[in-house]
Amino acid sequence: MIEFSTYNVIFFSISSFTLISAISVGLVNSLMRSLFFLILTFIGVAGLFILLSADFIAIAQLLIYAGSISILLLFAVMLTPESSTNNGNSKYFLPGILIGIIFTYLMVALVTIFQFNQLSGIHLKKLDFDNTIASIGELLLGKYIIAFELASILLLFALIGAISIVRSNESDFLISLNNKDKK
Amino acid sequence: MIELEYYLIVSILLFGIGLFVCIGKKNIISIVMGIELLLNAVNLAAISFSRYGSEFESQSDALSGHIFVIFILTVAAAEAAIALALCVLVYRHLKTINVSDVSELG
Repeated sequence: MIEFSTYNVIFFSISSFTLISAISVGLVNSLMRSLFFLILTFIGVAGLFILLSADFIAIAQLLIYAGSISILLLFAVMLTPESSTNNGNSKYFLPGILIGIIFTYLMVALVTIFQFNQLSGIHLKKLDFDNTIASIGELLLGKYIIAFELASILLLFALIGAISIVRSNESDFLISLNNKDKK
Repeated sequence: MIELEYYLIVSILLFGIGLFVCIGKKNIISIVMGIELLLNAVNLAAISFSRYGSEFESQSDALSGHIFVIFILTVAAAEAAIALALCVLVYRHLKTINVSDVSELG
């Protein structure tokens, strides 16, 4: 039975906030509003990370998801103006709801049957560090250094790739410049 | 006491909602939003397993889930940049970003 304590109240309020705003992403008509609900969802997930005592991940979530990825999505919405009011449903709307419900049912049944608590110990794990940042830094530059360097190369390629995809032809650009000069 | 299962159920619900957004919407940007929801659900599951996990041999092994989430964040940022560049490109050529209308090559 769930007793009434501060932690429980905070957990249930944050998780219901997150889930309600996540559902609103799918049900709201305007694409801009659904983007704002997506940002609320990111903030709620960051709150859950704080409850799980993952301070660095929570800050990274706020910076990367709620900060930069949502701004990228905002740019994409504004660069494609005709679609900015349209968050329409595809012809797979009902199958989508059905698949979501079936998946959720199966996985919740799996989690409740499997009883992770008995396997992994009911007690909260007491971590001995004040914050996780120092340990994460040591792990990133020690055990996982190859993956860390590969991630930086991946980011560089993604940056160059995105710019070279979106950039228009250089000759078109020069022609438009010439036309402007003539006017 | 809030235990691992509660966090896992929240994560599963978030994943289900993301699946619904991915499948049920016809706008490419909405589909990208659905993918971000899916990645967030996976992050939540990884962090909660890392928090409530069983005994670890050394202390720093307890943070493997955090490292996982950091790499997922990196890949998500790269993926979002590429996907949105493709959105803008498709819109520039076809004047629409509905996936049902973008069904022909060339």
